[in-house]
Formats: sequence, structure tokens, C-alpha cells
Amino acid sequence: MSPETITSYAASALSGPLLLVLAAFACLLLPLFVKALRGTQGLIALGALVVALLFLRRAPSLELNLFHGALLLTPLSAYLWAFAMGALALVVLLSLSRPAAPEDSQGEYYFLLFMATIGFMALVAAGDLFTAFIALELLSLPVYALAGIRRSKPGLEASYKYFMLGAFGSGLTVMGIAILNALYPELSFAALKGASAPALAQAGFLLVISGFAFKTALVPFHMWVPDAYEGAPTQVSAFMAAAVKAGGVVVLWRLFSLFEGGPVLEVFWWLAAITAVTANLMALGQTSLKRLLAYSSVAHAGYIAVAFFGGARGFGAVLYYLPVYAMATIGAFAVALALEKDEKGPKLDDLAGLSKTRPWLAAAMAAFMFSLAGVPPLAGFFAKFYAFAGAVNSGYTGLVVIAIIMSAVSMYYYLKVTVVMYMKPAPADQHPEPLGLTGLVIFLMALGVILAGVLSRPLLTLAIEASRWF
Amino acid sequence: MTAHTPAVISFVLFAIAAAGFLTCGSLVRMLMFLELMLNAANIAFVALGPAVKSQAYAVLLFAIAAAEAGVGLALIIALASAFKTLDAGGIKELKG
Repeated sequence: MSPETITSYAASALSGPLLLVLAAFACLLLPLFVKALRGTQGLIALGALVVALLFLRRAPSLELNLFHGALLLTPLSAYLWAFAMGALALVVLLSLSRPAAPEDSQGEYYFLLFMATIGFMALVAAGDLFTAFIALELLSLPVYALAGIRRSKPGLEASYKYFMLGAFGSGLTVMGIAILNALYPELSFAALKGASAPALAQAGFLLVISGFAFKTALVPFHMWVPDAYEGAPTQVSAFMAAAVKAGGVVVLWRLFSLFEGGPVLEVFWWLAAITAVTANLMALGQTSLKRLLAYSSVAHAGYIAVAFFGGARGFGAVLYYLPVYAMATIGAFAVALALEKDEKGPKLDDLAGLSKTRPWLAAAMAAFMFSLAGVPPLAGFFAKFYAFAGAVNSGYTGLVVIAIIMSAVSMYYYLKVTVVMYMKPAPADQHPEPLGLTGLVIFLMALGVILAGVLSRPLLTLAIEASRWF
Repeated sequence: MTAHTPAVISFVLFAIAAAGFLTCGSLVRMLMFLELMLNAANIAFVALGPAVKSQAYAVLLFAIAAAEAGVGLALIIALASAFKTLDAGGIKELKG
């Protein structure tokens, strides 16, 4: 490729995030000065996102090294950037139909959402650990504030639990990076890869990994998840489950792939196994839909960690898993949003008789639940299949057996949701509100979950192509 | 004072901060311990790493610690007015 094409590609690739920064400040500041724009922040945000998505082109097969290796633009980063902007667009649509923030903090709401997305984009493109840490903070700090943006009791409690444990995780990460910085001054993932790891370095790696495990919500670093997902506005919970988790997963994979074996991989083995077992067992007794989805999100982090053991093929599976999981979970949170009467979201019993009162909503919810449970021919089945197949091929059969057994256990609580919707009679006084844009999101996600399963080839090809570049 | 002293100080400070964070019940103290953790890491950066680059990292880390304190303090003020307490055990609106 000629230098001119590369320059124009870099300019085009970076215009997306730069436009998001501009849009974020526009949402925050413009309505303060121009009265007519008050209340239109959501539309500004959506418009900017559509333009930013248009900037995404098929990335050429090369690794573009920017800012002395701090950012690496590859087809992998392009894939994940598209994923992040897509997830953000859906969350913006949800917030347009049912505002998550009070009237006077609409601007801050979209500003924080955009900043978190830019943090995600920097995180997945980061070429060294310190950049990854700064990006992680840029991703997390806005989300702490977003969780409590309503300043109501549940929201603030969610926000404080998320903040305290998230910041504790960041503290562990940065200490680990400080230790690694002493041993490997380069700190880039490429330099860390071939390095021999003395005991002190392994301590550093474990600190970094536990910090990112907080973000990804692997057991035992998951304590904040149920409370944060339940108390945060449902739109923000959807964003946390889809985007924040994916960012942690990508960095964990980078750290995982530095090692061929040894104690660090054993730690990953235990994290994956304990996460799959604990999260699924804890989910069984939940009665609140948002808490159920929170535990389900922890469990899926465990399955993704199992997929790590498949090596390079496993990472292709992870990249397929992330959008498939995001579609099902954003869809499920959108249903929760459509049915919620107070901030904590609907109880499972509130779904009773949904098949009678709103048959299409019930059908879509059933599709999300079956996809999360991994029922063919929905996308969730193929995601789990590829994830586990890679790990089996690498000889980690024991871990996969645990994951499959726990996946069978998870059928119980996913089916419970469906049973409540289809078997229980509806309470008499039902006044369904119109769905509006929430309905559009639910429709799109249901379509995505079905299409990505029946026609899994295109998405899978993209994911595998992207996985070669990390 | 040997070459190892700053490293030892940093590790000990970090251990104290992490233990303090996990055991104390007051939100303000938890926030202070968080800042202490970041400062311990900062000492480790400056004391152990290669000269100029690590010092630049330390400056960036100051900014991050400040941002974190900003979000944390804002949150604590909002919590204080909503719950009338800053005891971690007293904030129990959600299950679990």
C-alpha cells in the first residue's frame, strides 16, 4: 500500500472517534448557549453516531502504529470500534424513547456515554499497558457517574458500589503496571510477549489481571455486578453489559495470550471455572429481571474466559461471542425497560401473561432468553459452540465439561422467564404503554439474534479475520 | 537508605491502603485509601521505572487520581444528601 492510502485510511479511521469527542462536547455545551437546542441532545448524539459509523470502512490488512505504538489500528480495532458504536447507537435509541437522565442532565448523560465509548475504543486499540490503563479509566469513570445520574437512592447505591470496587480494581491494575514497568520498561504488549517472567513479574501480571477481571466481572471480582445492574438506569445497565464488559475481555485476552502455560494460565482456568459455576448457581434464585440478567452477564464472562483456552481460534470465537451476547442482552434489557414501573426494573412476576397482552414482545424476549441459554438455531448456540470447541481442541476438556454442565443449569432460569410469560395468567389491570423506539431496538435485536444464528457465516468470517490481528 | 527503600515503602503503603480499604466502613475513608493505593503505585513508578518515561506516567497518574477523587467526592456528596449517612453498611436499598 502506498503511504498516501495509509495516511488517508488513518485520517478516516480516526475521524470516527474525533467526531464522537466533538459530538460529546456539543451535547454538553450547545444546549447551554442555544436555548432552542435544549432537549435535542439525544438527536445530536444519534446524528453524530450515524456519521461516525459512515466513516468506518473496511480496514486494510495492516497494523497502523500511531503515537509511538500507543494505539494500534488493525482490522481487529475496526471490528471492535464498529461493535462499540453500534452498541452506543442502540443505547442512545433506548434513551431517546425513555430518558434515563432527568431533564436538566440530558447533556451530561450523552457526554458521559460518548466519553465511555471513546474510552472503550482507545482500550481495544491500546498497544501498551499504560495506555490501556488510561483508556480503562476513561471507560469506567463516566459509567460510575452514569449509574447514579438520576440521583435516586437505588441509582446512587449502584453507582457507589460500582465506583468503590471499580476504583479498587484500577488501583490493583496500576500497581501491577508499576511493577511491570520496572521489569519491562517498554510495557507494550509486543515486548511483554516474549519476555521471561520472574516471580515479581508474575505478581505484577496477576495484579493487572485481577483489575481487569473486576471490569469483566469474573467471580470473585463480581460483587458489584448485581447491585450496579439493578440500581442503574436500565439503558446504562445495557451499556455496561455490552460495552464495558467487552473492553475488559479484549485486554484480558491480550494478557492471556502472553503466556504459554504456567501459574497465570492456571489462575485463568480457576477464574473461568469458578465464574461459570458460581454465577449460574446464584442466578437460580433471582426474582428481579435486571438482577437475573446481571448474573447471566457474569456467567457469560465465564464462558468467554473458557473460550480463551482455544488459543487464536478461541479468540475468533470470542469476537463472535461478544456481539451475539450484546444483542441478546441489550434486547433483554430493552424488554425490561419497556416493562419497568420503578427504577429497579420489573420483577419476574411482572412478565406474567405477556404472551397474551403483548405477544410480539414475549416472542422477542423468548428469543433473547433462548439465545442466552444457547438453544439452536439462535446465535447464542453457535457462539457457545465455537467458544467451547476451541478449548476442547486445545485439550481443556475438563473446563469445557464444567462450562457445559453449568450452561445446562442456566437453562433453568432462562426458561423460567419464558414459562412466566407463556404459562402464568396476566393480572387483570394491564395498560400497556406504547413501545416507540424501544420496540425498534427490541425488533432489531431479535432479528439480529436470529439472523446471526441461522446465517452465522458472515459475522463469524469477520470475527475470525479480525482475530488474526491482535 | 538503600536503593530498595522506595520500593519497600511503595509496597508497604500499597498493602496498608488495600487492607484499609477492605476493612474500613466509612465511604470517605475508603476514598482516601483508594487515593493512597494510587499514590503507592506512583512511588513505584518513579522509584523503579526508567527515568523520564516513568515520571511522565506518574504525572498522568496524578491526573487520573484527581479525576477519580472528583467523581468519588461528587458521589459521596450525593450519597450523603440522599441517605443521610456515609457508613457503607447503612446504604442498603438494593438486595445483596
